[in-house]
Amino acid sequence: MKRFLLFALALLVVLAVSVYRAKLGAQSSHEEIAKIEAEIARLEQELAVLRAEEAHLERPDRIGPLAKDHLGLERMSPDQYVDIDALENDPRLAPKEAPQ
Amino acid sequence: MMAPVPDNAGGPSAAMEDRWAPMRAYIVAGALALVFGVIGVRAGQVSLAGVAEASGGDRAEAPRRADIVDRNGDLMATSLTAYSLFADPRAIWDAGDVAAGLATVFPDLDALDLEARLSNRERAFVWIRRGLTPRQRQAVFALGLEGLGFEEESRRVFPGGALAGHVLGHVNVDGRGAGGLELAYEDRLAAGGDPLELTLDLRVQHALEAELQFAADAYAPIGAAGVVVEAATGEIRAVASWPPVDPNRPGASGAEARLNRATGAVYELGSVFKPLTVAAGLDAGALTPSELFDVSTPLQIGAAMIRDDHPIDGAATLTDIIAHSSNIGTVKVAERLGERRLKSFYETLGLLSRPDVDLPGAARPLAPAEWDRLANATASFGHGLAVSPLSLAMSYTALANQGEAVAPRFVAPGPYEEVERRRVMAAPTAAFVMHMMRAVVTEGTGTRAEAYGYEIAGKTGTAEKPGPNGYDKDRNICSFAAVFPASRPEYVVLITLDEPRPLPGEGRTAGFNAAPVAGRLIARIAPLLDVEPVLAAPRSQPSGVRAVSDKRAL
Repeated sequence: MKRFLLFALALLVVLAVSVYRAKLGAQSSHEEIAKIEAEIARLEQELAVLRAEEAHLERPDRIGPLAKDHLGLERMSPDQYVDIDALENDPRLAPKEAPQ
Repeated sequence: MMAPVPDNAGGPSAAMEDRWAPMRAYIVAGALALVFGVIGVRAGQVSLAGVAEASGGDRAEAPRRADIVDRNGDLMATSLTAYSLFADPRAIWDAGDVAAGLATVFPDLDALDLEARLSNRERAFVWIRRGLTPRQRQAVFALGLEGLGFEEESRRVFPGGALAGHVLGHVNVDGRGAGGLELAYEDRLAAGGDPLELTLDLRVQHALEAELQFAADAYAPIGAAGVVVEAATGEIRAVASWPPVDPNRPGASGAEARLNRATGAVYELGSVFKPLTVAAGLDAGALTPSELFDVSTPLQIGAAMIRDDHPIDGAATLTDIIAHSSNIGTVKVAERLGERRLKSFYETLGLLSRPDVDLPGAARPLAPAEWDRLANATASFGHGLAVSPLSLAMSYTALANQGEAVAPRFVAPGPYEEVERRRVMAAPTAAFVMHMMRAVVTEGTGTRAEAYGYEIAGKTGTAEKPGPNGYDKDRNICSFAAVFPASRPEYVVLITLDEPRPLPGEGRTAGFNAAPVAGRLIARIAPLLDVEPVLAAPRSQPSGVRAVSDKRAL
């Protein structure tokens, strides 16, 4: 009887300690989550700023002149469209014969 | 030397004490057990119930206002966290040092004025600047100055600047929508979540605004407006009003610039109504496509005399009447049709009621108080009836859609949302009027609107503005309403210029200003809108044209 009591007591202590440790672990995880959430909020803010900056830098009245001056790009003209049937008959696109 | 101490030094009294000893021990042990028990239970409670109340996180925080994006997902409006910088003068030793330091971050800051304000030790709070970006805040931090603090707040940012400023609207200091789509969709935006997707296309919007600016530089009008709408769905691809406003600084522009001339103002738009009147006549069966009209002599209606600036000699076809914009011919059509039928046709097109649109400030038309014979005659060529450019552009969707009109929309439809179309005229009627409008550009008043490859069909409109002494010949509203490409219409474009000045040696009518601007715009936006150019002549005639005489009329 006395041994059983001792055993139960020891088990109780072990359980109490493990519950306490689990609790501590949960608490530190909690803190970790809060930290990560704060980090996410901060990064989201940063992302919003960067997106706004990107949109500002990509606005057409800025990109248009840059594309023209630095890349030599021009607006598309109707001449640049080709009918798909016309392509099939274009001699330039005919398959070349392999050299013998 | 110590005397031996007897084991039992007490005597009778000591024996008494011994009798109480176990009792005392039990009491002390019980008290201790109670204390430890309380401590143990409490410790268990604390360690198990945890620190939930300390972790916070359930503080109700307003969600970030949703972004607004165009139909391609490009950002048009977003909310950023901004910081307001304040100072506590009582905590500042050297106001000059602080002011000079801040001036390095904000070059436009008046350092002397700030130093004076910071030197006032009686105040505990001085605003220095609002709406700082995170970078500016970091820069101020880096200065390491004393007595400064930051307050966090949300700021609405429109990265495109003035782009689509009128239609987007702006937000007030409390971050709530105040005008435009920001106001119309206040609840949706304030709830946060996914971005609000518009039907606008940022690139097309830019092209429209750039061409309006070009027109403003060339013709010095007092105002201008433009609309680009997809005919099949009513989706507005671009809508602009000149002068522009920057929603980032709503207070910076005057009332003149804040007016959205495309949706919030009404004008007597003139001859752009003529294709609609002819459509009404054809659809009602009051005239036939091959009919000839005598338009050589002015027409007396009541007290008014209807004249043509460039009279057509001899008999005119309906196509001639539209292509050369004959007032007399159009009034003859209106007379044939009668007051009731023309008015109800305009009603069906939505020209006599506020447009069905979720944009605040969409203007209600100004219709004649009494729709009598004279009002009917003048309304047939767009005088005496004032509508917004948006309303007129939407009425042209019926011509482009084989007779079915659509409502304008600024916000992208949901995945299962269907476009509601109203049939306002028969398909052959619309096809025939489209051919007449194509003739306006190939041989009539709108030849300067032609853009190679895009088969523009359209109608010029030059309306004299009403003044104190009747209509003023020198102050015009010039418009060009276009549909392209004519053989398979996809888009409706409207350009309206308010009081354009003529270029040296050129006329003052719409054919000289609004028409070329519309042509330039269409050549520029058609590739952006994925409209394939029409390079070969269409092989088949549309169903509405059957008789040989009808073909000749084209």
